[in-house]
Amino acid sequence: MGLRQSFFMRLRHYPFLFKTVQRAFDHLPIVMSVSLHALVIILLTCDFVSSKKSDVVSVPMFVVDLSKVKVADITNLPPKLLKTEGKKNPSPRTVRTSAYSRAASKETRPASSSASKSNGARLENELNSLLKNVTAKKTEKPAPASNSIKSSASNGADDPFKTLLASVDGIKTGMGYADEQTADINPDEAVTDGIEGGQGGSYMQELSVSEKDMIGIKLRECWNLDAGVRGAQNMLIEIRVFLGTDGKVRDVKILDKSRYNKDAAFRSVAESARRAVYICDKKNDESPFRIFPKNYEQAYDTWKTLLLRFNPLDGGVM
Amino acid sequence: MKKVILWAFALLLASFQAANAELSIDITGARSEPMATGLPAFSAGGKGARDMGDKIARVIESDLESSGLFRILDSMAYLQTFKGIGDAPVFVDWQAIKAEALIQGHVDYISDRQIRVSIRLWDVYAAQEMYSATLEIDNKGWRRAAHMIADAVYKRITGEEGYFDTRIVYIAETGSPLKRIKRLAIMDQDGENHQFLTDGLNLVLTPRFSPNMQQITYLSFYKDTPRVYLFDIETGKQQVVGDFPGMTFAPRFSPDGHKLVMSMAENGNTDIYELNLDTRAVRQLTRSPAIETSPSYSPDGKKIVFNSDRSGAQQLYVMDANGKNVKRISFGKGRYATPVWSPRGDYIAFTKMAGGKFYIGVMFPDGRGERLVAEGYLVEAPTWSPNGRILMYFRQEPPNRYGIPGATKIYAVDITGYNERRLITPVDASDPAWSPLLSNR
Repeated sequence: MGLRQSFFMRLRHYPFLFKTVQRAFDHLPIVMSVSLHALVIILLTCDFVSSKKSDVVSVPMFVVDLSKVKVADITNLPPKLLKTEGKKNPSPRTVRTSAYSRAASKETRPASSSASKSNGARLENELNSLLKNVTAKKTEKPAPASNSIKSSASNGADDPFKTLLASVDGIKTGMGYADEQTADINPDEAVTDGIEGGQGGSYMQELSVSEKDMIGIKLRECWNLDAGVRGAQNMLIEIRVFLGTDGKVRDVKILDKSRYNKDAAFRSVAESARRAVYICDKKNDESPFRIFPKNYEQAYDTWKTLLLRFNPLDGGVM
Repeated sequence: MKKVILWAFALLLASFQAANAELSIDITGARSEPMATGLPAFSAGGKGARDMGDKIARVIESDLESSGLFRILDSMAYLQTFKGIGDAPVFVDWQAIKAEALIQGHVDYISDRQIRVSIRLWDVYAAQEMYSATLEIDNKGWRRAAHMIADAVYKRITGEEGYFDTRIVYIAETGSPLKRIKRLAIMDQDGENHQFLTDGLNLVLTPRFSPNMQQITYLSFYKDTPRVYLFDIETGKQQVVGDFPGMTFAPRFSPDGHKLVMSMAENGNTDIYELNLDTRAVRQLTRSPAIETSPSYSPDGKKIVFNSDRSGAQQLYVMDANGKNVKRISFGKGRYATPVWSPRGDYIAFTKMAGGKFYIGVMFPDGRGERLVAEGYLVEAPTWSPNGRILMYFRQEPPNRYGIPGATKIYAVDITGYNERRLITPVDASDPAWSPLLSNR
């Protein structure tokens, strides 16, 4: 109270400021309410705060931490190692791997697991069954440890801690375990279960300007356009491309269908642009879209559809 | 307060948009190369039909390649042969040889004289059928059938009308330079079906088609007086147009075919006149002491472009069809002549003389964007393909060391300035005029 009074006392020397602040205080509740609501909505839409917490997959990591088992070297395997080991698989996914091993350690299993190979195979089955139950959720950071313990306990495990230890033993016996998992996992299934739903856009770094330029240049090379089409220089062809997790083109849609059906010149340019997408896609490793699974595989959500805007401006001589 | 709420709302919207923005990539510019096209042998019902199919396919190939927009792939590379029009393409086989489009065809004899030609056009990469058609035609008209199919393919791929099913009228020149014989001649746009229309007794110049292709208007010197004539293609009759006191020349039809616009020289002054072919009424459109000539209508018939030396040198001007609102559109160095408005309305083609050379060029109807597409010792008299994509003109080689004038030949060039090609004619040729599309008559 005293503070507030002295604050106002000082402001009196500045009549304009005083009036403004006084007015603001008059509407304080509404201003506060609006700004707080706006803040919450903005944060939610920008994914700064997730309204959906507790991704089951990420839970066991903390179980591991709580136990005194040294598993950090396994669960925190550097992404590079996993990537190179999983080379056979066109799209090794580091997050998925750690998620799998985390899930593996969480899964309830008989305590004895001597042979790491058979253990690994069973783990894989269990993982698959577990992952099928994982609902698609976006999380930015792992769920708090307390939650994880609760959720693993409520999972109906007999003795989660023991099984965890057992599985970790298995892991310890062979460092190759995590990699083996990576190589064996069906990428499509894994993406659907693990990444598309679970890890989403939060892992997507901003596509760099040079990467965007590279994609644009590659597509430009694939785009063969009749330079004399009337009005081509003023056309902007918008095309939506649907990509698979492997960066292959699944479908291509020309957006302005009404103009496509009415305007033969537009149709011609639009079809040439669509052809460019297919031609580029057929270049396999040279395809401009291959950068996505290569550099941004966890962020499939953000690149599974792309908006391509073809502008003949420079290419046409008209 | 309202402002605060509005700001908060705007901020909210902006953040929402940012959060949900789809990853977008801009592609600016493209390469421009002929489209790689597969044209495998047409399947056929019987041997005669197979020969016919081969002939038709060769004409289609020649038409499409001559446009500069298609490159027919070598048939030796084809991995698939078609046995019937119902056979589906194996797209990966065509993608393997980098074919972007594929033309599949089939020919049948439906009677001794009638053939049926079916074609299907495929987008190889999108694995989609783009176009299909069946044509029944007298077997003597197989060449036209091929042109019509080529037109259909061209139209479907480029989005513009084709121009293969068209004819060219031109001046066939024979004889020594001192006693040149100039005759009216006509041929298909690929040089086939050539015939002479006049006997060469009188000099003829500047032939132009009427929009319905029934008539040709041209200038002929009869008893040493140049007059504008009309020639009926079907009857072979020719008649003088109107009864003018002076010399008339540079005639051209209006887009509706009901009027002629031409120049008339009288007492040393040349102006532009319009003649109504139905009523034979004459109207003077320009009134200037300078020389106004080479009038050409815009495709909507509302404007006329012409050249005039009223500024001291020959330049291009545009006026309303009634002669009002005259505006100069060319301001470049040199002289401009023979303007022709493109059938699609977007360009005016012209002959330019500058620095001792001749050029064929195009500019927008307001004079902007001048571009030269051909040059030479003498290049002159541009005429547009009916789709406004190709310009045809004639070129004369420089005289040889004995001073004998060089040969005159007809050339065509894409308005992009690429793909210049010569049209083969039996004798020297000048002053070509392109007909409208025959199938649109």
